[in-house]
Amino acid sequence: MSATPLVEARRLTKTYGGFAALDGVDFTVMPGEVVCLAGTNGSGKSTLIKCVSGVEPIDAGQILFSGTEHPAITPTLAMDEGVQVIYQDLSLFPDLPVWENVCFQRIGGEKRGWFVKRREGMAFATMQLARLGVKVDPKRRVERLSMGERQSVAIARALAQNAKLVIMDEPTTALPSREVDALLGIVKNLRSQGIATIFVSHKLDELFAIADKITIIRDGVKVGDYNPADLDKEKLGFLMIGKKLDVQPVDRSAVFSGTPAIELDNLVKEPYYRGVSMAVHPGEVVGLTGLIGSGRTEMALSLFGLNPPDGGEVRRNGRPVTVGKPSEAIAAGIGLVSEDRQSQGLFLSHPITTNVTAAILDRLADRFGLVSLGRELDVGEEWCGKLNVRASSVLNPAQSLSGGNQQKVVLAKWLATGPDVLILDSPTVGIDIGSKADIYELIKTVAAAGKAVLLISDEAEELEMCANRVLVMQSGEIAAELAGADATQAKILAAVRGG
Amino acid sequence: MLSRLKEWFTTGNITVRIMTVVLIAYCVLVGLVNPTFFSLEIFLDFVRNGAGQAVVAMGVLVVMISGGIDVSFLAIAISSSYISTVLCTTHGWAKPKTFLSLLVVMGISCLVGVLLGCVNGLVIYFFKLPTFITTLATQSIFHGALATFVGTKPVTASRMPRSVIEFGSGAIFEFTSETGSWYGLSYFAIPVVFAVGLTWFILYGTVFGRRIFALGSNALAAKRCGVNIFAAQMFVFAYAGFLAGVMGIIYAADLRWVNPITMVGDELIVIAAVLIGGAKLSGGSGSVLGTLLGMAMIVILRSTLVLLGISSSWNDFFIGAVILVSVAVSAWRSRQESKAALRFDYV
Repeated sequence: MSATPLVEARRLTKTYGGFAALDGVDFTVMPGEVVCLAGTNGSGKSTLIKCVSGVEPIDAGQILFSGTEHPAITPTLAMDEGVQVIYQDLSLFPDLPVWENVCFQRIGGEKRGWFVKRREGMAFATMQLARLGVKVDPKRRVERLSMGERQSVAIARALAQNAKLVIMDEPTTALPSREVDALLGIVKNLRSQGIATIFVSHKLDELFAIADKITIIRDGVKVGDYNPADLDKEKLGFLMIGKKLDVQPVDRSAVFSGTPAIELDNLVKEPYYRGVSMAVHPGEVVGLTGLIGSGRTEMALSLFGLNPPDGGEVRRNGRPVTVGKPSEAIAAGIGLVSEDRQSQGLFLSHPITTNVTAAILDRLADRFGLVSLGRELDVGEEWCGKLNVRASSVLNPAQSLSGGNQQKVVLAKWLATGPDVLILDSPTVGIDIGSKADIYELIKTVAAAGKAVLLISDEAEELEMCANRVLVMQSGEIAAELAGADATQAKILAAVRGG
Repeated sequence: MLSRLKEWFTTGNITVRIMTVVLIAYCVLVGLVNPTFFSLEIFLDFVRNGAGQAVVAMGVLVVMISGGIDVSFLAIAISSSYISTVLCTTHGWAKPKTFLSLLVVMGISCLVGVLLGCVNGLVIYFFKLPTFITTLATQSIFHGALATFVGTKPVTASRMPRSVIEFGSGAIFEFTSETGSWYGLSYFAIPVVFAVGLTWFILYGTVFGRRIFALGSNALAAKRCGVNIFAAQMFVFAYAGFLAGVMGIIYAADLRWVNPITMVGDELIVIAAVLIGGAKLSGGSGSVLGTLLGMAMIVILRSTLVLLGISSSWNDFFIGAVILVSVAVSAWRSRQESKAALRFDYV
């Protein structure tokens, strides 16, 4: 191509305390190009983004904006050159209305005056949102928006600052699937307006759906730039982790019979779901999927005593139980690993071992109610060993772990309580492909130990790999059950979309 | 007119809407039990009684929107009014009973208030301290420093500048009631209108005001967006100090007496009014109208229990109940919202 790249990084190197996070990486983004960065956690993707946006100074190499070299890249310079980062936390002001968030830098009008130019700002914000093809009332407060709408607002704000390159760091992790499609639409929309995007995601489907170019980084070294048409998932995965992943789909020939570990009979909770009947046997993994609003998460929450049902019956080992609150669910031997592990599943600043033992402290206590640190450590180490948590010490804080290992700690916490029924809500969201394989193995191991597992997931591949049976919900009802040879990715997806 | 009112009512701030209804309902109730309640005299009395706190509540509101809290404002009010009146008396300034001399007294008081507010702001910004603990400490420091370095002898009516006395006793317009006594709209209404108008303009009309909201709403994002956090923090505390200075003179004029060793214990009433008016302790929200209504509710409640035939010893009880109920209602509402969205962050 003859055009000047919007951003060109040459032989980029960045070291943290002797460890090379980036080692001689070449990287280019052309105007209007959608570049997807692929790599496992810790491969250097985030560091690359930080260098390009000027947040981290580079140690060696150079970064050119539109062909011009700069002695040092600062965040302000990068912004002036049209580089806008959408942080994972979105950096929005929840109490302010949409329009003020979008044109925060120019609430005082185009001339940046002292006084609020409400009408002008509102029109400007509406225009930016229209460029994304998004309809959001500019007067609504951001805290009342859905995650997807908030993301649109953050992108609109980037556009309002004349973005030429929008960097999105795992933008889809926190999004329900319907809103993911909308986001991908927005990215395509930006491309048609000549605005480039760097897109980071662990969901390979998304990369294939939008990328013009996939840049793969492994251990701080660039593996190469690829045309998505030349790659498939398997090859991409291989290039990302540098070895072949050997994940075998679950054995579908196994037949489960006898008394189910958990059985739902005609469970109802209006307006979320109705007439749901299903059973999970010991040793079985039942997948549950469906679009947002299909009632799958709401139903799973009901089983854990959040969002209690209006009618119907829940039976454990054939005996009816009431699960009106989480403590009752735990007493009934049901564990829930929630989707939002950062806010709901982990004490991030506390040691790994404390996280593992958090739900079983009463069991570790002696007759005076005291817990010895030694016993806690033993239990922590035991579980970290069992689940292959990669940490130099179980006394490290949980936040020092990668996403995949954090998820293992959450799993360990629930497994330590010894539940017979384990509900996993999107266990691999935001986890890189290497750790995903570990989690899949773990799910199978848990099931093999005789637990009943209800696996909720958006990813058809995950269900194909792990679930003995897949239930698909639509509009609050179980619309399809796919078992045996029918539980393929294609058929699951078709059923989810209402085929 | 009616349709405009209807529109405001269906789209406006929900806290303000609820409070308006509750306040009107309460007034009707009091009026039904005791028809003397519906009189101009009583209403004008409310204005006079609530003026000082309403002024300072505007300052507290601004601090709370920025994500902080200020509990030192009464210590600032006492310090600034004492220093101002003592200075004016000993130097013979502000002797004449003129508006200009009142401005001198008021100006000195506000200046002291701003300086003390800046002390709060500086300490909080440079040592990165929590605002509550800092202002709790400076409250004692200001008060103690006043007693130690300035004096403890009260300024009595005879030593108080004449203009201040006039400010407290005069009225913008006056009426004679059937019984022959005088009543009118106190001059105190002027600083209230001034404080409300200025705060309204700063918060809703200026870019700087929006940045104060932004700072309280998400401090990290504000930083990333280039908001000058030092300027914003200094401003909010200086502004609270400024209005505390105004309040100090209102108090002095009302009581005709400034005693530096009394500590008026009404800080929490003012903070409660701001909270009842829809502010969040975490910052980012709050409303001028809501705060004014919150203040009105407390003032009216405090002075009308007697009209309902309830002993005034119930005052504190009912004020506490109003605070609890209003906070509980707003917590309940956000809980319902979380529940509807199936977020379980409240469990």
